[in-house]
Amino acid sequence: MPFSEAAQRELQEIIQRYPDKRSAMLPALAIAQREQGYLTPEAYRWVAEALDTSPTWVASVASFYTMLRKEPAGRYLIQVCTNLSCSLLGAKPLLDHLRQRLGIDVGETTPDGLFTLTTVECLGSCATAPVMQVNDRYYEQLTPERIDEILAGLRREAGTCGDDRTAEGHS
Amino acid sequence: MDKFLLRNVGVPDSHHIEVYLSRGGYESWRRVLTSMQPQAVVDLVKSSGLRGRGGAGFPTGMKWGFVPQGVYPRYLVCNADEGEPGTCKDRVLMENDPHLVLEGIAISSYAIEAHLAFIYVRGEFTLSAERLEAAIAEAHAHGFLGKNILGSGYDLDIVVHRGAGAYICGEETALLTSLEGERGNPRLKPPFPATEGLYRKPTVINNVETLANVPLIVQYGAEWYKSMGTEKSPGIKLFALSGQVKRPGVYELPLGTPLRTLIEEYGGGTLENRPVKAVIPGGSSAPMLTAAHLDTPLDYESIAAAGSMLGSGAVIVIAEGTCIVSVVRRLIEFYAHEDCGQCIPGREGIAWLARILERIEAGQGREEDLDLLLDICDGLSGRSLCPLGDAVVGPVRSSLKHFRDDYLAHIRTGQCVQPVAVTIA
Amino acid sequence: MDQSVTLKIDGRDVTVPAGTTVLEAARMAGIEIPSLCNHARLLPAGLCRLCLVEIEKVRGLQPACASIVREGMVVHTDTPAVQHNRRMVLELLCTNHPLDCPVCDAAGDCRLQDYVFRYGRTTSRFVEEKRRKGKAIRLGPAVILDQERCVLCQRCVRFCEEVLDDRQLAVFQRGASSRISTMPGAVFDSRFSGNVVDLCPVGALTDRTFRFKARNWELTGLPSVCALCPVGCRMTEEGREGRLLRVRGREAPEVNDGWLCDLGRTGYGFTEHPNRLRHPLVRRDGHLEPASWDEALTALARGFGAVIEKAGPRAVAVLGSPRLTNETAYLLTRLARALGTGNVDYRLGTAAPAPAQATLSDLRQAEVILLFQGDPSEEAPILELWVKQAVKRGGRLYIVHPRTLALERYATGAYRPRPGSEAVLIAGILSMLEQGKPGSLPLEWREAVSGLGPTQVASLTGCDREAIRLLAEALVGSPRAIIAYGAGLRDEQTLALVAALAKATGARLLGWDGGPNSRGVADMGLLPDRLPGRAPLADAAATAALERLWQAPLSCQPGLSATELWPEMRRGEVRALYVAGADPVTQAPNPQLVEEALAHATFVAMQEAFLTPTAERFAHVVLPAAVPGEEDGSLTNLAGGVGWQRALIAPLGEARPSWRIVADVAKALAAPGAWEYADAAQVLAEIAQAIPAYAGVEVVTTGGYFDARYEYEYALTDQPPAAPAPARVAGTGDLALTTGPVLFDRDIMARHAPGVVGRAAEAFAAIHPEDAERLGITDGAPIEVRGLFGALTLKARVSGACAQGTVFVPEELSELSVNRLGAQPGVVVMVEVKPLAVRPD
Ligand SMILES: Cc1cc2nc3c(=O)[nH]c(=O)nc-3n(C[C@H](O)[C@H](O)[C@H](O)COP(=O)(O)O)c2cc1C
Ligand code: SF4
Ligand code: FES
Repeated sequence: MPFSEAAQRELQEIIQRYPDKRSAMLPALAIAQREQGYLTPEAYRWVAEALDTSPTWVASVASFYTMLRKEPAGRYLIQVCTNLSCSLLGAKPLLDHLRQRLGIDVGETTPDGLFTLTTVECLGSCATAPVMQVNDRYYEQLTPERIDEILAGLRREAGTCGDDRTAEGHS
Repeated sequence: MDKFLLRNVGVPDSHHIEVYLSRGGYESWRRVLTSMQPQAVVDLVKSSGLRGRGGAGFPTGMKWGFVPQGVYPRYLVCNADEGEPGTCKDRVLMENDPHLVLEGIAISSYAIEAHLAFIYVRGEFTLSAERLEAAIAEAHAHGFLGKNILGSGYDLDIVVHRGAGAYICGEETALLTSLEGERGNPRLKPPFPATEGLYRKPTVINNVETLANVPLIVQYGAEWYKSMGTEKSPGIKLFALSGQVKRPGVYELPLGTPLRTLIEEYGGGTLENRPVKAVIPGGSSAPMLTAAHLDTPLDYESIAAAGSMLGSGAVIVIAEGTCIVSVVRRLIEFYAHEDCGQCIPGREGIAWLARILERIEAGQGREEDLDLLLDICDGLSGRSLCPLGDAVVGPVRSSLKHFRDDYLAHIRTGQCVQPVAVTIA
Repeated sequence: MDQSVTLKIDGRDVTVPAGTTVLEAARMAGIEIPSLCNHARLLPAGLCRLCLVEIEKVRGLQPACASIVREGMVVHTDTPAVQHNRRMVLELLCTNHPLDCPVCDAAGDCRLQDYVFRYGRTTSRFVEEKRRKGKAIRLGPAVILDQERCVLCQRCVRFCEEVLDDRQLAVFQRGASSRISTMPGAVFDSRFSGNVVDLCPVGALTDRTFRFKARNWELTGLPSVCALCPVGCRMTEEGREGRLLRVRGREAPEVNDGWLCDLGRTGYGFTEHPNRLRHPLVRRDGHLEPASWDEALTALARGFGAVIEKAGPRAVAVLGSPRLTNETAYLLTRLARALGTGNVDYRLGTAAPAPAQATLSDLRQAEVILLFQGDPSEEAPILELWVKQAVKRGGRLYIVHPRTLALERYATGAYRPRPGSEAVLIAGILSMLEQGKPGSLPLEWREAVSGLGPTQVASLTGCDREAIRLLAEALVGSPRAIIAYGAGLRDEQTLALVAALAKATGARLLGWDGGPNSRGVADMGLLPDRLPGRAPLADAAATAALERLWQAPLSCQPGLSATELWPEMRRGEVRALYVAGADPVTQAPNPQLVEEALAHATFVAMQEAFLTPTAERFAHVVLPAAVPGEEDGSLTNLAGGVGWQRALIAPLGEARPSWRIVADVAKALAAPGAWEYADAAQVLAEIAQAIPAYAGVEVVTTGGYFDARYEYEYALTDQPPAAPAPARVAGTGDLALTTGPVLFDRDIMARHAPGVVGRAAEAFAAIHPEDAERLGITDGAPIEVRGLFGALTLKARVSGACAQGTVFVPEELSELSVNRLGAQPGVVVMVEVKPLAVRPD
């Protein structure tokens, strides 16, 4: 069984919230992604079945949204905003700093599978720019020093607490 | 100045209902339920002159009035997709004062006789979504939501719906399509959402900030609201100030406050006190203004008269030393990335703009490219399937008007001649 | 509703029905507004923006395809802004469109090409490199996709969504990266997939079997009708240099509305099949050997002559087939009756469908549809679309069928009566109607059904009593109810009950069997107890009229039906048989009997396009017949619409048009009357005289074809239905056999077409999971199904769609004859099913 019973229950509960079950598409895909780390044809079939549509359609919907991943990412997905407000306050040098610290280029994952580095469009945090998002968590008003601290913190967290996928807490 | 929209921001645990209640929260909701008919709420908001804070500035009460008589169910959708570069005000409300947002949604739903409301929160805003969901649970527990609210016989449920990374879903019809479980494709208008919206039913879509104003208007009255701001742009507005200023931030000011006041008094002036080169006054799609416009009042009419738009009230400041070509290239890259791909002008036009701009920035441009850029803009504005086409042309046209020299320098010298202060990624 | 609106387009007053789009209104006024995404049969989408026009008092340019006309509207389609937009949109499209027109199938038939020529810029300002996307992607068995040529009009996607309600194609990614695709690894596998090729305005979607065969401007086309199923879809045949290369759907709202199923689209590839008969064959020393037409006809005349001389004309029988054109069937009838025999038939285990009372347009708008014993998807595919459309409009669908059909997800109610109890179910509803409102049935019907109380019906059929009541209520309650029965209804007894139900409820009947032209062939009188026009033999006026027309005395004795024929032949009463288009050895219900009978026959002659098992083993003379595409002729579809099938190419080798072969045989046999016809149209003209119902039908030569439709009077039997009882049971196995056609394996010719080969599942038998478990059968494993006359080895398909206690075996399996199992009308055949040991390999 690729998807846990809890996931199944959660999805059924979410479907109930909407007048039309198709509306549960994005939540369903989010659950599938949480379960498997990224979306596979198996996930599309699972969602299609629950929402009474075709897997191709589910895949098509999923392909529209950037947060829905079609391939695996490292344990920490670092997304650096490079849109205007962040760029104006130095997103580019920060990105270069991250590149150098992680030893990978944008779009790559560190060999230990810990970090994937990407850029991202405006995160809606422009007044606290520059910002990046690590998994669900925002880090704002970044400086190179802040970044070093954050990376160290994440490394510590990874070393200590098993395979918890999402960073806890928010800034 | 007193704070209203941001009155709870910064108060410890402001997102909890106890704090909200202790500061007078949900009193407006109680008053509406116990003493006002739906139409009275619509009339009140109409007379307050409140205009939509999502970008277009459309009068909110009038929008509610478009819902056709006798057609049910109806839905209220709160647009919390906040994706326009520069804009980050709704998030402040949702994270810090989710109950204010809920109270606004509740009163507005009541006004349009909806019993189910959705908050479409952009996918990246995990904390906002969590805070809203927790707040909804608290509100239910306190009887402010659910069945027979406060014994009034009125029922309301609010569902938080999370997006998944698509700026275009902020456009109201795309938002509805996305909420229906589809790709976030904008739809043709007409039909307008007020008559055929979510699930083809009458639907009112309002921005977070717009809705957050509603409890205040109920609390203090329409006259109070109109006493602030200008005649045609009454009331208060959140301004997200970002870019090269000393103190970026989200500030609450009466409409009509001069741009200079925001930048200098609130923002502390530009970084290193460099002269202002350009200001984008209303989110990335608003045409750029220049230092010559600094005394323009920040209200819908004045900014329009200056050749731009107030939009979402996101003010991006660009100081001297920054290359406008790279700024515009970056913004157009963003739009190309976020275009839905349905219509030809949007899909091919924006992508082509981006490629020409890249070429110019890289020093490979030709002078005729500038006319070509404008011609493509003509092909986009007013012609794409949704208003994205108009959003895209703002930066291109305005920069060619005000900063043509930046382009020509790239074209003629083959490189950027700015004393580059920052590199735009 | 029917209001009209007057508006001004480019200064011209145009009056159109309310609700029309500006684009359509302009078209009606002869003003072209270019558009790529708009399509008359799909909802407006407003995607391409090529159709933008100026509408006075509306700000900005507006999409003509999505703007509805208003009284007094003033539209301009030729202003500088409109022209600028067209140029711009086309230029934008071309920025990334490959310039491979010289090798594109759509060249010469491409909207983009035409528009760029008419409205576009002559030079390009695009200097960047073009975007690369996928080329020559095989989407599925019928369709190839070139993503670079795609203009993303989404017609294909919208077709899947709006018409098929099966979202198999979709847009992936977004923005400039958008592309059409299926889910990674998924196959675009629909019975209707080829339609997207017709819909694609450019060369992005191409037909797998047509690719690179010809340039559009070299093709000649003829409007024709499809001869592969009872819908008779209107289509266009296209080809060049004597080859039929492609067929495409033709707009015909009352039939297929432009859509075709993939069988029709790809099925004509058989015309060039190497196994086609190219010359007559005559049996010499036990072997069929090539002969000239003269030799063959002489041998035939000798063979039949001898039998008639010795045993009289009633020792001769004629067996036709539902695949014959009206002209061929009519001439066969005439030949038999003129020779003096009434032994004519075409039914091998089916009932002649009753004349239709509803049109296909009615079906699309029906409020209630009872689908009885028919599976449109396999038997008459276009009807699947129409049933879906009716449901989409709010209609309710009820299904009575032994299997779970694809359409079941659209059904309000689905009933699976025990095999053999279907007639009881119908009678039960009739009896319920009578109970609910005494006196609603004619007296004699009341008697027939009175014994059936609801409890008894429920227990005999196994269907829920309340559910049956709901069905009865639905039928009575709607003025727009249709009872559609299909190929599963095989016996006249049940048909009479269904007809009675229609009459009692006011529902209209629409029915079909497995044959493409059963309706027409029955109308032509290819029945032992009927004259052309289905007049009873006893109808003296009809007989007299025919005798006058045919200049010959008619044999009006009832003859033998195809069922009665074989025992008589085995006894030596019938000695000569003429078969046209049928293969009794594989098609008749009792192959053992048929083989014995044919072995006793003195003389067997056949006309056929392929050498069938019957011909190979028993025929003395085989005459090579033309196939659809090679011969003219009319076909009557299940709703009574007559279509004219056209010869685009000459018959292969020495093959002759089927109708002409019959005439040639008649002449060789010196049958009374005149047998000279210049062409098929002349035969049709005679049909129009012979059959009052076809009186209006004629070939309209101006248009090169005709599309006449004729509706029958309410002409059902008033015979009271007999009291039904569960059908007789034969066989000793423990699973009841059900059978029916499978789309891609249903036509003995089309299954040879390259585009069809491989699309039908390997010969299978479907069985319910619980039965499978009990019998130790796993999905995909080889099994043996043993019936009345032998056993078949098939692949097990374990499926909940098959009712417990039944096994489904497709009716026509490429190489296997399901008739070995003994399926026959009105009988429940119990077969034995067991797993076969898998050979270790
Ligand atoms: C491309 C595009 C993006 C938009 N994004 C947002 C958004 O993120 N948030 C928002 O409230 N409105 C956004 N809008 C405006 C909405 O379409 C809509 O006008 C607004 O939500 C209405 O709310 P209001 O009347 O309260 O302003 C966007 C519009 C366009 C054309
Ligand atoms: S493949 Fe053809 S029909 Fe489909 S979207 Fe592309 S151009 Fe249109
Ligand atoms: S530009 Fe980076 S968060 Fe808005």
